[in-house]
Amino acid sequence: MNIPSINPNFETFLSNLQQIENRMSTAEQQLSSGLRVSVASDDPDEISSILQLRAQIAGVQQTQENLSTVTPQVESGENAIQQAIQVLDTATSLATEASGSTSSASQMADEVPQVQGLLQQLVSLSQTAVSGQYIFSGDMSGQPQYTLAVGGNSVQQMFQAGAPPQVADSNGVMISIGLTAQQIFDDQVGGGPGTGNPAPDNVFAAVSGLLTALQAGNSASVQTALSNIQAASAHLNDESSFYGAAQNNLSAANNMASQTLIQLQQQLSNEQDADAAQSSLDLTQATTDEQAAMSAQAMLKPQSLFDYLG
Amino acid sequence: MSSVSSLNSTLLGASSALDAFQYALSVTQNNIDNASTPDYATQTVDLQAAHFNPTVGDGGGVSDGPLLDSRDLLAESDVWQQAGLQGDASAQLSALTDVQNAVPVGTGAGIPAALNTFFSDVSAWSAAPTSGSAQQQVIADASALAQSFQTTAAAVAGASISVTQNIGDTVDQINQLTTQIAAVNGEIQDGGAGDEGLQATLYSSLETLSGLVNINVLQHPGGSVDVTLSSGAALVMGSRQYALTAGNAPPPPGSTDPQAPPDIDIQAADGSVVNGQITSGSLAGLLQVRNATIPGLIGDASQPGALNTLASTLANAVNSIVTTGFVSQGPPPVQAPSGLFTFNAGSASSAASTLAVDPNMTASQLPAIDAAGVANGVPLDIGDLANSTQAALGSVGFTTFYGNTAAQVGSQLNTAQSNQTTTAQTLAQAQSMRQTVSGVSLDAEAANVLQFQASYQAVAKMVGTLQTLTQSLIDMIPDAS
Repeated sequence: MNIPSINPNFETFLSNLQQIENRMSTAEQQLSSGLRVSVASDDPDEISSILQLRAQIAGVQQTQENLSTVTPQVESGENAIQQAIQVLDTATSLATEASGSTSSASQMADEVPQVQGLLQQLVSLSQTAVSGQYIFSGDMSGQPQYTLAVGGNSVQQMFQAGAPPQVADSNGVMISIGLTAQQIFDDQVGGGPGTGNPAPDNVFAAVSGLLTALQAGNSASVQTALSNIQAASAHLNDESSFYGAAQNNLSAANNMASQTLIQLQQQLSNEQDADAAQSSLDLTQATTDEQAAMSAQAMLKPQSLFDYLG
Repeated sequence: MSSVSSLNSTLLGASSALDAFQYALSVTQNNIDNASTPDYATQTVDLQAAHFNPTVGDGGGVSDGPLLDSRDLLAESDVWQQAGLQGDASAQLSALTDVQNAVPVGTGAGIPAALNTFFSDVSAWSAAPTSGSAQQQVIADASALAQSFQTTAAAVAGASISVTQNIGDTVDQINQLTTQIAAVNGEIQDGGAGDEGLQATLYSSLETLSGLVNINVLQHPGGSVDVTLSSGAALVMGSRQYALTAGNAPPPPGSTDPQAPPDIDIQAADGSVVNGQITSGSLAGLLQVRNATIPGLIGDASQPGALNTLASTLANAVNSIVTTGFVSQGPPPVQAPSGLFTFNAGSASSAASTLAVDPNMTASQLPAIDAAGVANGVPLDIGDLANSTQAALGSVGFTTFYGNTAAQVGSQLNTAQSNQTTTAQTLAQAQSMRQTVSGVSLDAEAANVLQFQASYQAVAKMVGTLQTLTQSLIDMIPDAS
């Protein structure tokens, strides 16, 4: 229970002393934690802004991690397409050789295993995986979209892949980071998925066509296949440019994220961190005030007229 | 008139004066003795001159009149008012400190940190939408986020219980004090009128009571008092005390959430609710925090509370995305089995305390594909919520809404801190003013001692002179032998 004071002047002194000690406590807390704002009452007007800045910093840092995660996928995609182009170059050489007027049916048949190997390489490239994720499988990255059919002469589509994932930059703008194996290796007439009609630049169809022509020993068909392989190679070069652009976009997004992160951290520091010099000054001043108040109070000896009575 | 008669009359007057000065000295001594007694008011003796007309035998002199009490009701009332304001501010400061601690804003603490972790790992999931570990991490973060809401709601509820307990203790103290005041009133009415000892006890109790609740005091001529709340609810009438009681308020008519935490009602002895009459003192401060600040966070029968609004809005926003997503496009397409979060939608005030990961949802069934077939459409859409504004939150985002909520508590705490500092000063000033008016001044009492001592000694000398004169007169009588 509160006991009413009988010395109001002493109450005033204690109240003033409490204010000085509050100032000392605040300065000490800021110096020891390095923070000007630790609880909401430290600066209610800035709390929402501070929390929002922390959330933005966490988001940008995660964006940087996401960009780091997908960059190997884009690089692997680019490499796979370049390798596929080299495979088609080999196929072009074999087709050119087989389409010559001196090439016999047996000579064509001799090239069949090599072309089968090329088709297998292309299928393998379509199954490129990074960290267990098939990068050309669109929304089904847990499994490859294409496999080599039984007999090794054709390719089998396992499923219709949906749109591949995108990654957001620090402003929330989406960056496309991949294509499906169907878009790269199994282009369809009209460009859409699942028309069932291979486009002239269809990579798998071109090599399968060459294989069929060689097995049949039909030089005219080999000539047609050669033409398709050249078109497929041009298609792969087009798709390769997509990955080049994606790499540029990722690099730009990384730079932007780094700059944004520095700005946000600086902003957060301005709003949240203590000014060590000012806090030290405040502490020194409050300590001096407290000593002065104590000394002054100690000098005020309680005296009355009774002290002078005999 | 004969010489003997005149001398006798003068001697009697001197004797009366000695009595009066002795009485005055005893009053001064009592003042000095009680210089440190709380709420003791200085008493003075009204010395009164006796009739002086020697021709008719009135020898003059001085006698002690009634004791004068220096207590000033205006000064007392000012102290009570300031004590009430200080009690209000101090109680709010203490209670709001607990509430603020329950709603943390520090780095890595509480709901904001859990929100950041959740949205960050959802973003990581968007970069690896079929990654089992990423999905598992999102489920774990969702569970931690739900736990964070539950912990915060429980901490605020804990603060609420503490404040409720303090309200009960304060009401008990008020009732003890009003019982004491009624008892003192009884003693005053039973012949203790004018007893400054009783008055000091009475006014000390009144000052303590004024720090707990705002009071109106009506003083009766004998010195007893009636005490009421500001609008007239009786606390003490003469020697009878009227107790206050604290209890849970019934849900208001038409409440859609009758299971919500009840507010606290203070009832007068006649059963009427007197919350509106309690405008200062510790009880007012505690009621403000208990019936306004805390329900603003965790709700009551008339409002859901900010934490519950935040929890339900977040859960609904995430669930609306998750439930339209696909685990696989098939064929056949596999839809999400449920939303990510669940909570008790039947009680608006329990959303935060019941928020949890839906038991029907597992990591492997967490859908990444959105309705448009984008492989990571669902995590991207959930991630966008981090920077989105929500109509249900007053068109601000989740983090900002939480920040505004915490800021309101912090702002109230700052106001209470400022008020406590200010009222401590104004209370000391009011007490100082009262001390000036009615407190014991040792200087004044020392002067009184000197004055009464000098007067006493002078009269004593006078008595000695009169004795000499009387003896001389007696010696003038011829010897009869």
